[in-house]
Amino acid sequence: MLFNSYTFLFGFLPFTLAVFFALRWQTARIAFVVAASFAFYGWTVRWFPLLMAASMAASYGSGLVLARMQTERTRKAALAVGVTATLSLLLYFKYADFPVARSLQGVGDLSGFSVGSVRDFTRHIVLPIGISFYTFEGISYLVDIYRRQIEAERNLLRYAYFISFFPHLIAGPIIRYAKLGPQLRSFYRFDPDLFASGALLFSFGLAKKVLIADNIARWTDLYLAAPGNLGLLNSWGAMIGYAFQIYFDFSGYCDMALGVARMLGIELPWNFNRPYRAASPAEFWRRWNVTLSGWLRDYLYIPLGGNRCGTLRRDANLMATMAIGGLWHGAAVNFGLWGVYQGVLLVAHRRLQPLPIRVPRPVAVAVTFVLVVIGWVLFRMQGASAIGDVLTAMAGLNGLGAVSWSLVAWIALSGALMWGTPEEWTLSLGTWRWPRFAAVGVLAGVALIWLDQTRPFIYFRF
Amino acid sequence: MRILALITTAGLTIGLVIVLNWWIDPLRTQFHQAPVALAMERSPNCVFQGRLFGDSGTNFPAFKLDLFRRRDPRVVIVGVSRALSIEAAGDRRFLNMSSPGTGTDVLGPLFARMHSVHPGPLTIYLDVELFWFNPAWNSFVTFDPTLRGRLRELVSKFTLQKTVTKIATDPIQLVRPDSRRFSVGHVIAPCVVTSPGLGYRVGAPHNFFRLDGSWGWMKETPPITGDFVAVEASSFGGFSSFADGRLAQLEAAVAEARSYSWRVIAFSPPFAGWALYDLKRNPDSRQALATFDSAIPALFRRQGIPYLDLSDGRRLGCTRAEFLSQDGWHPIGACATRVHARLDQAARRAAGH
Repeated sequence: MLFNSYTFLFGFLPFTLAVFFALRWQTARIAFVVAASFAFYGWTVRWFPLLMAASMAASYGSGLVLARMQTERTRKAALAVGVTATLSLLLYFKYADFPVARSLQGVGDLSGFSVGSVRDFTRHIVLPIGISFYTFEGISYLVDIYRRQIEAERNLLRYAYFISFFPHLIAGPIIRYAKLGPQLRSFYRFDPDLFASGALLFSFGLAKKVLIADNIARWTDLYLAAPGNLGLLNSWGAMIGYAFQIYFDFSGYCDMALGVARMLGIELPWNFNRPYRAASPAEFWRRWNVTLSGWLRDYLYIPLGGNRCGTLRRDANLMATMAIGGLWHGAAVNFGLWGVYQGVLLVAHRRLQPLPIRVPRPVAVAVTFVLVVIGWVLFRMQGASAIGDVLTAMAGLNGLGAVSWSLVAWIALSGALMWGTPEEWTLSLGTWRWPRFAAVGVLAGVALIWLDQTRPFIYFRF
Repeated sequence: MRILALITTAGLTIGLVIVLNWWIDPLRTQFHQAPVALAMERSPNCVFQGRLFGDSGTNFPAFKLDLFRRRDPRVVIVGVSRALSIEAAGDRRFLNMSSPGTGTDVLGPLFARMHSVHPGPLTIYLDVELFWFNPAWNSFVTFDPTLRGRLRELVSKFTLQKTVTKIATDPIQLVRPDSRRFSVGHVIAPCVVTSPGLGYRVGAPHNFFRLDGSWGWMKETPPITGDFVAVEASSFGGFSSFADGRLAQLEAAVAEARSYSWRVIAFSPPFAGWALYDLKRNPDSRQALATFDSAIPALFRRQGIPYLDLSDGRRLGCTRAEFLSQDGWHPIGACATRVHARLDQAARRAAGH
């Protein structure tokens, strides 16, 4: 089910809120939200909830076993088994076709042995939406228990709530049990300010998605459908447009997720902070998909050694972390390349930091933005030929081209919002007075009318 | 209070757009009775430009039901576009209720609506189609539009864009939308009801409805060539099995008509010889046609209803040119007239004359 669908907006959400507040017992509320979340997840594909339940059972059971282990050796073994079990579903559903089956096919092509049947099987595997998110959450839960940062949750309902909570289920933000668990322990008494701020955040998110991202997508999809025809102006126009499209799409979703969660009395972690204001690649990752970059830092980069084992090892750790982060988005070469590119930017930034080069912040922001936009080419385009076409056009080797004034206008509006206004979650929405609510209501009304031409969220496929 | 302000203004915004879209009606999704009333006053030979009642044909049912109310017919033909050209031929109590996209699921609700309007005696000529039983085909008209469907048309960016364009082109529509909805000309018939907004000259509609509900084809298009099943893939493509559930729907609808004491004559309209040949040659449609030819007569026999298999147009003397654009399955002109005559004959026989 999509947040930007009539079914969710006029059916699922009002029903869920009404029943939630009608229930006067915390366990009943948790049980109801879990049931609603499973229904939300299984709305289009009936077996998806079973898969989530299997992943949940693996991490929940491993957490209980891990908590009982006394020695370091047995704790490590329990963690390894738990992480492997949780990760195995993701590996099968997301990565069986790539690189496993494709590598087998490559070996087959070289050696003459036929492995066609393996490839035929794996290419029909359906990727369950949201699996990357709840797998990472399960792993972080186990590692946090191992690190003794949290206690294992013995209450299955509360754990099910953590994994399945529908606002963040499909596309994040990635939450950690230490953040969510304590919020489930006491009965939530209706807080009008929190509810109001949730409604506003949700409206802002809907407007960002439907009014901005979807309108920019009309143009970027048009241009990028034929990358060979692009020139200098329209390739940059399309890619800058895409940079704003993916931001407003994903941050719009996150605002909606944060908003719905607040309406249900839950504070989710924020995920964006106007990322194109960053003055360096490192700062960009502190502003873009913050919960993912935090996860990669805490559960991948630091265990690999972080910056504790010398400069070369630090650089290698950064590259490996970002490459895996890229592949987390999808089992495809272009995502891997995008991760490596981001790793190169981070390493280069670290290497340049000690040098006595100081540039004014606006210049640094502009350079970072351009580098990020070039990176989006690897993320958006699939296949070496398409990537090459766009980069060639951006380098000015394919003529000037022409860009639509409508796209320019959307980019100008997006830029004004990016660099001229704060991220929505930073606003003290709970203290706003009714005239502002009324103004946002008009915005939400227009977004609801435009829903008939909306598109799925980009991050749903990750 | 604050949440109320948010919800109220969102609701008011949507409400404003609904009213504006409804008022201007840029997609002609609403049926307006005024043109029909005007035409009936002028002459029984008035015709309506086809697109006057909507671009997609979704509005045909409302038009047909309005004619049903006004004409108080005794003989009604119900079916799809294949029966659409069958005219009254002087019979003032005849009405063609056919609409493209009619299917077995549409029949029951349609009969109920007709009975609620005129509970009296009626003879129904029921067009029964092979493609109704293709699981890959679905009906796409409704004689009973839902509120949800109407709201989806009105709460729509697409409709709003069209509304804004219309107002920008001709702001007078904001205060008098009827000024652009229809007008009357006098060239090819005593009167032609059309709309300046349709982009055609007033006196030369390409396709038009008559007041008996039948459809006149004026537009000359190149002959349709190629394998019939492939050309008409939207109706016959994917005919891998026979949808038995739709047989039950058809039987229930026929039983409903009988319960109103209506006389029903079922028929299968003609195909051109070459089209029937292609249908019998294609492995999927051949099997379906064989099932149809055994199941449909049996169904009507069970209900005690005459069934005329007119599917072989050659037996009716229909030439290749007597099908629309020589498409092989939309009988027009003399072929359609012969179908009407055969149906009248069967009705008289059924009545014991």
